[in-house]
Amino acid sequence: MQLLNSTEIKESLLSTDDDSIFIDPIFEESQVSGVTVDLRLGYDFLVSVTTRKPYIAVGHENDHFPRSIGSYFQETRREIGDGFVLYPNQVVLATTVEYISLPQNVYIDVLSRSSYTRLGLHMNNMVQPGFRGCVPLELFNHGNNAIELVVGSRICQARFMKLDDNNSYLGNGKPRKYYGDVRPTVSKADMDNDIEILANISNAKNNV
Amino acid sequence: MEEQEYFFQTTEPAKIIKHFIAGVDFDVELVQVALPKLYRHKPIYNVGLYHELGHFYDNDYKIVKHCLVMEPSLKPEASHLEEYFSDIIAASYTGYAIHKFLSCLVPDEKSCESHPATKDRLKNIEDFLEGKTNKYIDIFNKVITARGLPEIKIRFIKPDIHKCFNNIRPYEIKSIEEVHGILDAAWEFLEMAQKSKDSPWCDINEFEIHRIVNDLVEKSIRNRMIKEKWEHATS
Repeated sequence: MQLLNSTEIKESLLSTDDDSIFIDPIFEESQVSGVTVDLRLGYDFLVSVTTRKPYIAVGHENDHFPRSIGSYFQETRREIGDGFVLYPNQVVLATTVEYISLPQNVYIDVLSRSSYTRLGLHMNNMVQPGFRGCVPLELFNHGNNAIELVVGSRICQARFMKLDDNNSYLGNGKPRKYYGDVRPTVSKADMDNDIEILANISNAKNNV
Repeated sequence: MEEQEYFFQTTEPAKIIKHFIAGVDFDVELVQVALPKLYRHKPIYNVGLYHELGHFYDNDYKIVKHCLVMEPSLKPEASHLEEYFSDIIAASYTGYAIHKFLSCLVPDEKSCESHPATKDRLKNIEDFLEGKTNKYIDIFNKVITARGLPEIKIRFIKPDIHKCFNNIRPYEIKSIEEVHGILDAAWEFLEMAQKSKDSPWCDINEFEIHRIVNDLVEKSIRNRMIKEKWEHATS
């Protein structure tokens, strides 16, 4: 495994090969520097809201009062340059402005930039080889004060790790839940296969 | 149910915006058009908005009213003329996208007082896009020429999106004509992808193919919009 430097990243970005690194749009060349690429805060948000049901149920099979995960989030959109206020202890789902396509042998770690970590905003995400889409950002304000973020600002950075072997993102019977997303998507944890298996175990136990 | 929300109240958009944002003024007339919230992330269905824009154009320039003055025998078909005209305006910007949208939304609709039968609307659109004329296209052109209005012509360029979309990447739109034309290209591409036995489409279910193609269209258009804003701010 090898950490790509800016020269290698730029070479791949300029390549016309279908299996190269693709990032669009890149507003400034300076976004690619050292061993990272700065990524910008996107314009669509899903804001966590409270509802009449006091919790989000992931294991829906045993739930007598089902409520979709999406109903716990409110969709809102801003334009580039607008502000977005992130309140303390609030979960907001967003994406990067940039649409990214990764080669089958490259994955990225997405981390908040130091300037934002110092404000109480922490991000840590891993994106699989072969991924397509705007990078999902799960925003959470750990500080005591609300933060007004600017849509389109360089909020996080990606470091590119090259693997020795290719890793097919689709195929091999692996279901992919967030492929080609261009806006934030709520958790699809309730669609995980193991949730169904666990529900069966729970039902069997309750029926003994 | 939330997904199916539809709310529309006719108003004067410029008046409302001026009321809420101090100092804003417009030197152009604003048009208010709406479509169901269901379509908000499905841009290929937004071709219906071009049809509604056609109605606005007709209302503003009284195209159909002038047609009836010029050709009184068409009076019983007045409302149908309005639909035919709006379809042609939509086709001039979106090509066969409006044809495919109608075929999908109201495939077998019979003629009624307000709307012609879908098959007749489709034929009218085909005639326009193939450069043929018919009695409706003929009278619209006569009125437009007589009134010195811009001719109704093809105002889009259909981009080749296959290489990008097959690689699940947005297309870099190069002109305003391509902004319109990508809708036609996307309808055609969607039909191909849904039948495809090649990767990546063979590994994705039909619902997801529909979502991904719509999202790629949306991102292609949004990328152009935000690049323009950035370039404007930095030039």
